[in-house]
Amino acid sequence: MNGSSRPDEVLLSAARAGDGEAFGEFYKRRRALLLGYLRPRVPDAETAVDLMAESFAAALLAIRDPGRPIPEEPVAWLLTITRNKLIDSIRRGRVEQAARDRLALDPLEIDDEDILRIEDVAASIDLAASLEQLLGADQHAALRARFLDERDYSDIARDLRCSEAVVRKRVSRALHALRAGLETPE
Amino acid sequence: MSGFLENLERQLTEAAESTTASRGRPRSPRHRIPASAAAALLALLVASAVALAVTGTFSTGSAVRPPRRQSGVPGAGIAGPGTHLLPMLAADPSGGLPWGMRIVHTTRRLVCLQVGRIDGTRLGVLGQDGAFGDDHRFHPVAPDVVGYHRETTELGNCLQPGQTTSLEARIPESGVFGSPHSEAIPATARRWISYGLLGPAAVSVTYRSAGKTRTIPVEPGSGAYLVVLPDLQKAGFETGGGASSASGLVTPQGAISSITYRLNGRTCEESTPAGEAAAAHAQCPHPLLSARPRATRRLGRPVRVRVSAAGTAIVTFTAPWAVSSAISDYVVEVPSPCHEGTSGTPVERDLRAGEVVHVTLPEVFANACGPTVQIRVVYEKDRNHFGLGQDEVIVGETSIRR
Repeated sequence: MNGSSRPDEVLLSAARAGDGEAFGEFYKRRRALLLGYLRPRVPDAETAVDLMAESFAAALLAIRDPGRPIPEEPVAWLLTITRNKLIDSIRRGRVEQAARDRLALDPLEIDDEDILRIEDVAASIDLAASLEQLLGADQHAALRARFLDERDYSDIARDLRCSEAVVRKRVSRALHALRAGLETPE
Repeated sequence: MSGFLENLERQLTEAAESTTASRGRPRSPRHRIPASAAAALLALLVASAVALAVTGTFSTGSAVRPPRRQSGVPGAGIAGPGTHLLPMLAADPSGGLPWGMRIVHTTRRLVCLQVGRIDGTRLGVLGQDGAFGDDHRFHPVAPDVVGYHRETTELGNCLQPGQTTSLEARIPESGVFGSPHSEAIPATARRWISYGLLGPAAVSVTYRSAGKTRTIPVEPGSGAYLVVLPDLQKAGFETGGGASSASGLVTPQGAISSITYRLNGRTCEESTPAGEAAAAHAQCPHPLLSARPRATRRLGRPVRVRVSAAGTAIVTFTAPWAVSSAISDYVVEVPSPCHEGTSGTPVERDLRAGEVVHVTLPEVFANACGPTVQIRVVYEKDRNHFGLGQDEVIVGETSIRR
């Protein structure tokens, strides 16, 4: 099977078995999504790409742990990792590099050309518009509230007049639907 | 030409391959030592580990003393009232002296954590794994040592009042970080330490060990916890790090998969990123993550610079605000746009408002991108919130030419 057509979960399973190219493919496929999510939430492109690198490193550490299941919803899982890294960074006041340290990744230099490209990649994904276009109304409302407006499940449930479990399900379905729609690399 | 995004892809691809491949291959040591010496050292370390585990008693060696300090009260300060050993103990996987944690309150209002082996009521390290000449003695960490138990002030291991933290370290069972030839330390003598101070809202921490999920209560009040596990991971030995928070909640690090808090009468959990997606738990409230433009406030105060023939610069400015703790500070910054960014030299001592401050910058032109170097003095009012989103106060700025 061609690497570019393999579903995310297949790529991650292959990465666990030592297929580095598979994880590289997962990275290429999803980096635009992460940059599109991160860039509007941090002051500069350097911070966005720093958080993205740490998020992918954390994802790789999780994947190589045989005690953890391969995520059924890789996009949701990766977005959650990224969101938590962002929360940690805001709480701590700087971007952590613990995951990259554990993988012994070298620091990467970033130049002006990189910054321009990162801004382009981030701008190429309009997360809100993608959500609206790709999702049904209920899923879109739930996912937007959760990931773009950063609200708790219980809070969203009150607004949507349903249970937390229903909100979680809608978010999960929304991310599942997004998986097909956002797989186009930049 | 490959850029940042491609270089990151290459690194991740190689890491994904190497982490799996390394399971069945010997590590390639960065500091190679002769095979015979390594074998002898390994034999000695294994023998000493077994001996220590069997006897569980140690004679006392020299104490770990604080590093020599400069004049004044720089850095984290010195240990002050309130420094105490926590009652909690964690058994070592191989037996012997248990592990414990000490909280050091410094004269500059920081709270520093120390983890080590416990002998009676003393916290210390063991003379093995190349430390203290392998004398197999217990070396108590002196009560006035601030930060971690090696000869640094370890500001990074200290917190500001009200901060919470979750940390991990992969260190030798001796408790000494930074052993020579650490790659020769056998896996049986490596430990994965997860520890932290989670604050009064924390209830318990959960982790997995030997295929079982365990939940242990944290110390009431401080939210302190300590988990010591064998370090089975090949990469990342002799590393440490984690997360700290000014909001009271922190994402668990190390072996800890989740932290349970009680907030407003309800329990909620903070989980590791990989666990959160699958878990159907009540999540704790998170801060709003919308981006906020960072405002820069310029005071326009004079900054004078004298440069010696050797290239050493003396930067002089008048502090507009007092500094009475490590929570606030002035930093002399030298931007270097053509290199890795900005270098900063913190003052790291207490100051009076209106005090004239002199800061020495050796080789000020070392990272210059041209004939001119810009120098600015930045005031950090609250380092709890330094970094993302914090408003910047530039006391003054100037530029010098070669």
